[in-house]
Amino acid sequence: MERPLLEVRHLVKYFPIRRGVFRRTVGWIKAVDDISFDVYEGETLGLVGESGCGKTTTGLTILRLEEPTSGKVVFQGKNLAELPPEEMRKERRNLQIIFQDPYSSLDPRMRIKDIVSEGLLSHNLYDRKRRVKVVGDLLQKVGLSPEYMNRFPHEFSGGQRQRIGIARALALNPKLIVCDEAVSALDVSIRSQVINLLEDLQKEFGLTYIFIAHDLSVIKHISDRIVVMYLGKIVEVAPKKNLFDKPLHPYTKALISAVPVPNPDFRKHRIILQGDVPSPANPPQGCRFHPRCPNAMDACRTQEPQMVEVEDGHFVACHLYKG
Amino acid sequence: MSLKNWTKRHESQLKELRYTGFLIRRNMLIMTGFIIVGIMVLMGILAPYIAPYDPTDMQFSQRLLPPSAGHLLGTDDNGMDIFSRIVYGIRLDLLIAITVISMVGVFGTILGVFSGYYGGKLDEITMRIADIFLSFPYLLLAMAIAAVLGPSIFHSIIAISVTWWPIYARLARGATLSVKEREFVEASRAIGESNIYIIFKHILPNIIAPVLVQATLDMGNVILEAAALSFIGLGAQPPQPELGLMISVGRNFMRDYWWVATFPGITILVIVLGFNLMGDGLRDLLDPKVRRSLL
Repeated sequence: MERPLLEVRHLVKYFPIRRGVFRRTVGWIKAVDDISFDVYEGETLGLVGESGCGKTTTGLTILRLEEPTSGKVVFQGKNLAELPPEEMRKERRNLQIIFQDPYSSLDPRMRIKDIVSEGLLSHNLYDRKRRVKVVGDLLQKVGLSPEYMNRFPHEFSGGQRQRIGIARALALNPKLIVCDEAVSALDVSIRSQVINLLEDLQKEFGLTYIFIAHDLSVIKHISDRIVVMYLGKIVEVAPKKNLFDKPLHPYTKALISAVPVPNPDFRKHRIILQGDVPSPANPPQGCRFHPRCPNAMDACRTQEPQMVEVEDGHFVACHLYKG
Repeated sequence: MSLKNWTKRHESQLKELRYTGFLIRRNMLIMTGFIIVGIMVLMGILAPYIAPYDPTDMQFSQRLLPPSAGHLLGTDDNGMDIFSRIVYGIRLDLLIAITVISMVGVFGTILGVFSGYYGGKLDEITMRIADIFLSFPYLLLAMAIAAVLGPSIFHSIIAISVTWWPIYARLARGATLSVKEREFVEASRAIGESNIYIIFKHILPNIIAPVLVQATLDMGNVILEAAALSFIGLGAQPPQPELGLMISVGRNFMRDYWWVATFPGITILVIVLGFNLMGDGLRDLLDPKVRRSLL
């Protein structure tokens, strides 16, 4: 198999909990706790999990918008986590991000032209005239008229703003784009348009996406492979078809059973999980899912399950499955 | 050709500007504020052309004359024309206020933005120092500083500035904290922009509105405080035409010669009222939610 575009190895991100006058660190939020996965060139990797499981932190840490606590993020052979600032700055051209909220991801005081060309300016690409042309082309690529470039963000709808955000991410001609809940804030009709746009752009520019979402139907539509996270850990990694046809981990099963089916006559068996997600400041011993797991055994309470490859490319971290 | 181009490129802003003008005209109070401030600023700039007499020219033969055609608002105990002194007083007090506000505004805002953006130790230290300054009644602290430095206009400017910056540091810090969490800042970092660039290009333009409103409101407050310092003898010295000082002098003759203190007093009232109305108006105009209700 080819070498992955991005290898994440034992990535850890803890946030300190500070209290009191002297801001002493009294504990750690274990947002991302030792996760490893690969992203191959040209694929879309879906990252799912419920709120607070560390999906977004994973995305931000890969781009080093948050400094990783430990672990490696190897992008095209370079470990981003250890890159000196100046080299990291150069590398940022290859790694971009699209945000969830199109209302806060565009600076309200800047023109569309300036927002989209910010990266070009920052990396000293092209002269002024050429930049304007590039911005126009980009706007056209994302389905907006180039005439809009002199306008301000408040003159656009949510879907249009998200397109502008996509144009900004594309401006530097990146290889990898992290879509952090990129379509969650859009309403359903706009959502499918933006997803189609993302897919078209992927074909055209050979982009690789890490697609973070909590909406399984979106993930199912766009992803090639899927990573399921729970409380800072990866519980299952599988190609899309395997995951939806044959989920292995009890958590994944519960997630998939919760996807609504648009057929009122269809009654399927739903797995309702008991209790709440435990606090990431004090995660359960052993398997983090055991307090809510319908199949919990003794081993789950004490031993942390290791990732095992059950089928080709289908990994799961659960004591129910042994190699 | 190029002007036409410019208007076309800035079409949306020009439209916005015209609409703002329309809103101001529709609202009596805001309009009043802008008119008062406009008149005061004009009087300040054109003082030499408006004032009929030299504001420090003492005519002892004409002491304490009541308002008349010759001396519009009468004369004071040294025979100086009160109207001329008020016109120059407006100029002097506006200059003091502009100096203080621009120094304090720039310094306080930058300090606040940096401490809000970087956080940590820098933030902790600046904010504790700001707390110390804010914990004194500011007039008292300004008095103490002015007294130590010795009475003069320049020293009163320093004294007021030293006590005033924490307001802007606080304001700018608070606004920065909320702006820096927005995703466009993260996007800028993802592009590889430096912190300095982000502060000046993204944070400052987005926090400047509340700072400007505060600055406008504070113009009136600074004039009051400068007048207060002069009133107790720690600011301007006679025969400088300063409104607070004029009230202080006129106070001695209040019973028989009411005009000496009354007219400078009314002038201060009107200036401060004007700036407050304008500041309130600006706040409403710059807040998109309130803005709609102005219509």
